[in-house]
Amino acid sequence: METLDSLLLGFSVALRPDVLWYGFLGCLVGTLVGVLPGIGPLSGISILLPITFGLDATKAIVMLAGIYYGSQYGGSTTSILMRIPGEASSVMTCIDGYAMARKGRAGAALCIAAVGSWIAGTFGVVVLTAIAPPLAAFALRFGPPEYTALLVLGLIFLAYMSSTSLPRTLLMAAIGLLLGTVGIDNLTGHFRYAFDIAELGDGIGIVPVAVGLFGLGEILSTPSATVVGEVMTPKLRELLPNLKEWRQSGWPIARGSVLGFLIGLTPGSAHIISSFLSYAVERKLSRHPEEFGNGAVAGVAGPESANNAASTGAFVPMLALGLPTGPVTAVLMAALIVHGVQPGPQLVNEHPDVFWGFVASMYVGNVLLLLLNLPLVGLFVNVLRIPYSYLYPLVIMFCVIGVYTVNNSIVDVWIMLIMGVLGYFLRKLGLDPAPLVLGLVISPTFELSLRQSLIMSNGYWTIFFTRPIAFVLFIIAAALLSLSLLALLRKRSDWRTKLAEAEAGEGAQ
Amino acid sequence: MAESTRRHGTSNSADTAPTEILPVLHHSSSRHPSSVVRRLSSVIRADHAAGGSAIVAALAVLAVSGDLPFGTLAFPGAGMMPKLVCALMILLGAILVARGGASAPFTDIGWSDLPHAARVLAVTAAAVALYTTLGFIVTMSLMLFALIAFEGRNLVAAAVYSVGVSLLTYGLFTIVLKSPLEQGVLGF
Repeated sequence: METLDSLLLGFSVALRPDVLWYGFLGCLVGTLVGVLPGIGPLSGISILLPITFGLDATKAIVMLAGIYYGSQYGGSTTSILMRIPGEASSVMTCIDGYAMARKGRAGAALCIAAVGSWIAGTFGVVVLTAIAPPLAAFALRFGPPEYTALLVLGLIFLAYMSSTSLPRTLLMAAIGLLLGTVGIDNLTGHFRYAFDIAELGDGIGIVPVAVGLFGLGEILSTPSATVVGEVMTPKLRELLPNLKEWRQSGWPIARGSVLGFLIGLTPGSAHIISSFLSYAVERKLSRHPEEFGNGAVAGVAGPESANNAASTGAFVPMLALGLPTGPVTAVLMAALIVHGVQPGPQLVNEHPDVFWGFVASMYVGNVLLLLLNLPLVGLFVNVLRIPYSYLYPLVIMFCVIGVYTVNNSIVDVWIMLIMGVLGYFLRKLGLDPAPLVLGLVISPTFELSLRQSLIMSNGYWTIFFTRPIAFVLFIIAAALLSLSLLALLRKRSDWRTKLAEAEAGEGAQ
Repeated sequence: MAESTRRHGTSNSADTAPTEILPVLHHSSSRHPSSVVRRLSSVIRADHAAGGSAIVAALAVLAVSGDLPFGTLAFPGAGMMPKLVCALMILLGAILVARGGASAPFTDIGWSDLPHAARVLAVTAAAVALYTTLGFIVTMSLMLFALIAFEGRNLVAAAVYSVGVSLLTYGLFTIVLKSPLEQGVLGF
């Protein structure tokens, strides 16, 4: 009952015309970000972050979150019509979505993707509404040792779930942790690695690193000659699937919603992993697995539902524990902090309007996206007709504006350039930059809670094993680490290797 | 993610590669130095490069961390976290180097996009260097024009597009979003 009252408060905030307008703007921009290849939700959010500085926290987070889940909707458009994943999580949709388009069912595929995304997104918000507040109440028992254990578990979980390898993922996270130590030490006041550059006193910001690694890095490794594509434009009357297609999409949407939400709760590229797993599950369960790759409806409905549910699931640890599970939630957290709102267990009590307004806006946002994506699909597709050689300079310009405007600091823009180069080389070496951003975000909290724990215990590491919650979290982390090390030593293919191989195979098609 | 994995990330086809280094060194005295370099680079794997770079970076950070106190366990100093993380990086880098044979050969990495990357980087770096001096409109118009012109597009169209987009963006941020952009010495 209390939750229902709070949700009503949320709707009273989310349905205010000004909040609704920013929610709509976020969904619109998010759909465009999803449609355009080369601009992911992370760069989209980072670039537009400074625009939200003039807004209050509720409008800012509603708009930025709209970009995030809007991009999951928009990513399916290019996948189905051009066989180009606008967003990494839409890779699986390319296979059967494009095959459906070739059979003249492009409209039906788009409609199933949009409806599946809407159902999964709404399901995710319903579960989030139910579990986030009790989880936050539980997290109030956390002190520095528990936070240290939780962050260690988060990093180990990220490495375990990664489809590359444990050492690679942890190495990236370690680089992020190291970058996070630049600047003034909060406990002693020491300047660390500032090299007499005053701007580095506050540390390295998330925005220049994220925009550099993902935005500029992507552009550097994408010459315009490689971006070609034939655009199909479905007619409005072709958008409705037939009865058989609706029947075939029902269970995949339901399974994708549950699977996606559960995976979304875990650290890592959950929205990407969930779509791959959903595709594998649907192919396994199908009575006609031979249809997969040739236009199976379940191959569109399942992955599209899963990636949207995962995007919503990722908000649970962010809002309830103050723990980002990926780079996008890390940037959203940074956006809240910029507005003076600290995500975490206290958020529900200290800023109920922000928390519940944000939750309610997701219900509204999912409806807006459904309305936006179906009738306006032809309009979004036209954006793809802009030549890439005109588009990428524009993206670079917005990267520069986005990074510079955060602190009016040219040093930040230089950091973005350096990170762009780093991102380019990381791609060349097959290293995923996402754990680096995550490491950078959690670094200050991790260092502070670790040192506070040691000070509390007068230097005894045993503090982590004498407090029950911290102990359990460390045991889980140790179990995951052991499982990964076992697979590493046996050099045996486990599910993650198979997932990576599937990704490589599908991506190469 | 899929793109990068597809290109270089998951090749398990060459587990035997590190043993090939011995014949390379054995025959090296009778070959031209450039061919030795070529052969040697063919046995270096992506993970060797990644792990080696991580170790070098961590050692460099440790070298400049001399004045940061590690402290004690009861009162950890400002240097504790960076030094622990550097040690972790060296360990993980060493694991990557040791297991590098399972990754893609370094020579298989495609560098065809390097000229594009270098061009974009040079133009953007020049724009960043001039940004605070020349201001948003002039710098961004020049940057957009240079990037589009390098792509071999029509110069007049590129000029119109560059100036138009810069003016529109300046107006959008300054007037609509009330978030003024850099003006520079020219005042706009």
